Amino acid sequence: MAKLTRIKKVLIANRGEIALRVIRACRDLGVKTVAVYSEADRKSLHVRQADEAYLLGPAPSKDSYLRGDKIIEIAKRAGADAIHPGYGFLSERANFAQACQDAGLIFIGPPPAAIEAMGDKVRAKQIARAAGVPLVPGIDQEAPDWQSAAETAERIGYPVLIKASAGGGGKGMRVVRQATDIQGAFEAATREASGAFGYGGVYLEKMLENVKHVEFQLMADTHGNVVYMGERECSLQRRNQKLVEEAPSQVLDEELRCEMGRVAVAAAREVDYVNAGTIEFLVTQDRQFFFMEMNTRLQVEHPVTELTTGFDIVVEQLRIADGQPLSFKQEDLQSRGWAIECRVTAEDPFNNFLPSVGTVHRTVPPTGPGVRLDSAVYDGYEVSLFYDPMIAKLITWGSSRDEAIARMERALEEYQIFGIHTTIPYHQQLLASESFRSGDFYTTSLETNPALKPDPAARTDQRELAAIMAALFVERRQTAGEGGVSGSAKAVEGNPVAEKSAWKEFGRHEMLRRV
Amino acid sequence: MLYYSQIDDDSFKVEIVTDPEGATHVKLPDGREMRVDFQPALGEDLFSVLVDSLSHQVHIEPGENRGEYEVTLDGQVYLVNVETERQHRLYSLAPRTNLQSGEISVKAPMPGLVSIVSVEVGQVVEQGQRIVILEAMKMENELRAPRAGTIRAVNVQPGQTVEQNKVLAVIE
Repeated sequence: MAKLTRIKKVLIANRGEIALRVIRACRDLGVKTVAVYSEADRKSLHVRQADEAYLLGPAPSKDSYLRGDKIIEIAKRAGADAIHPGYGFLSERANFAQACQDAGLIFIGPPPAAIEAMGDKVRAKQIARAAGVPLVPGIDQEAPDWQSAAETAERIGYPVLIKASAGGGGKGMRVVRQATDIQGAFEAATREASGAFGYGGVYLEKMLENVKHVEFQLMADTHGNVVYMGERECSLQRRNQKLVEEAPSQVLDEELRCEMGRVAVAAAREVDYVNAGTIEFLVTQDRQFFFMEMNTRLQVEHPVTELTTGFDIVVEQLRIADGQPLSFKQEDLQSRGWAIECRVTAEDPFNNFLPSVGTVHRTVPPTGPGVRLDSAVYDGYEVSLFYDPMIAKLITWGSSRDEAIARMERALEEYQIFGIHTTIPYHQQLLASESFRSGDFYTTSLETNPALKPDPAARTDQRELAAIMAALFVERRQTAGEGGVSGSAKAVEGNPVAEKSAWKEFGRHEMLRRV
Repeated sequence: MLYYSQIDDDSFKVEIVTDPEGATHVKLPDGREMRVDFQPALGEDLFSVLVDSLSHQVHIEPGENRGEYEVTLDGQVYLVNVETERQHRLYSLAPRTNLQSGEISVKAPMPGLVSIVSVEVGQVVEQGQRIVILEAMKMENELRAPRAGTIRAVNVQPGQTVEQNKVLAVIE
């Protein structure tokens, strides 16, 4: 692989699987890596895999992974040339990208102005409109008061969505189905938005029902080349968090794909975009598409695009930041086969997705044909309350959608994580569902379709077998000459069987033979 | 040896015997008998178990309380309480208030901040009804009644920070 010329050492301003993912891309390019970590992450894999590692501060993100000043200081001290922000944390903060530049460091991502423009939802819509991207009917100006919101709603027709200009994650968002509710909803949304984001501006748009979330991966270099790497289907979401993603999308044909790709590229050009970015669209059942937003960073679900196009997006990000032209042209990008990703989180799907904190005692990772696991979990890994509950991404590839699904089902069955609850059984339920198989699912399906809600009864109850296993375990401890059930559980540490006397065993064997 | 395994309200009597060849057999009260080969696969917590040649992978570790084991089979965790025959005889003589009265506690599954307490002492609750909302991981987590009953105790109030496993309320 062609080596980089300017970038010799990269600091990764992130943690978890994505920090590891970036370290691996650096390794592939022969670039040195610098990890940063919080006090909670001293033993994590990104620290162990990097060439160097520096402590940022206490566990809370605001004292560690969000300390841009400290990260830049460490980068300078360690002699790094560039900073990769991963996703989340500082990845979409224009002022951090600017501070990197000011400190003479390469920010592996878009220019600060592009981050800023696309981060403001109202401005992003104006840019999209200028580039000829269709917008959801509504207003790209903030509604100053509830009366003007009511007028707009009347014009575009109910149901409408009230959204916070500075928003994200569903905060400050309200669905309004009839005129009598608009005043209350407007006031509540404004209040929630100013509470959550310190800015109460809201705007309105028509609520589209039964739509798919389809996003386009874009890559742009500093030589004026912008390409789209095909789409990803990410409609299966819960509370605005994606659970399952795939590429390509079942609802697009080649003609629609070209059209959406073309306008996505135009929107990126409009803001002089550089590096990796994603434009999210809503696609209706009659195959109209509308601009939703642009994410100016690497996405969690980038692997499905890597598996279908065969190109490494993170390596490409590094090459672009190094000043090199894209290593492929639009016509080089041919989608091949099908890829699916399941986001495994430390939550109990059968207990209202309660976060499952604790220690992962053991994992048995899936392998075999068509399987990729991007994970930061190791035996002894502590799931803490401080960070996102996503612990691993399981991705499979197949020559067809059916094959990708079959491989995912196989991999989910192989994947064992002991010590905490995970969403793996729920993924198994979703993958097996008729809705998923037939493609009959939309952005709201996980909340509205009863067949897609976590169903404990969908699992086989194996209590009798579990009862037998526990008895066998106790028997094993008792015959090993340890306290077993009669002693305190904690007292039976170490390896009771290893301490078993060979003479005793021999004697027992002899006795048995005498019977 | 004879063991009594308890999972929630279900009790299983499991007899484990070794035959003259040294092979282990499990006998159940309904007369079923199976040959088992229980082998540690990794450490003393991950086992490969062949039950009449059907292959299972199981993770077992001691739970928080004495005699309690966390058994993970195909991604599902079962909390199993195991008693030896002697213990079973002993315990069945002593009154066990918890089991007899059907008392069940709602515990904090993680440290967090109690934001809402939805029940009061004496209130009758349905299974699945909200008891408490606990804020942790920047999320609001609804803790629900594991079964129907009457609230016998409420140990927390809104605004209170709680440790993991703190008993928040008791349902009878």
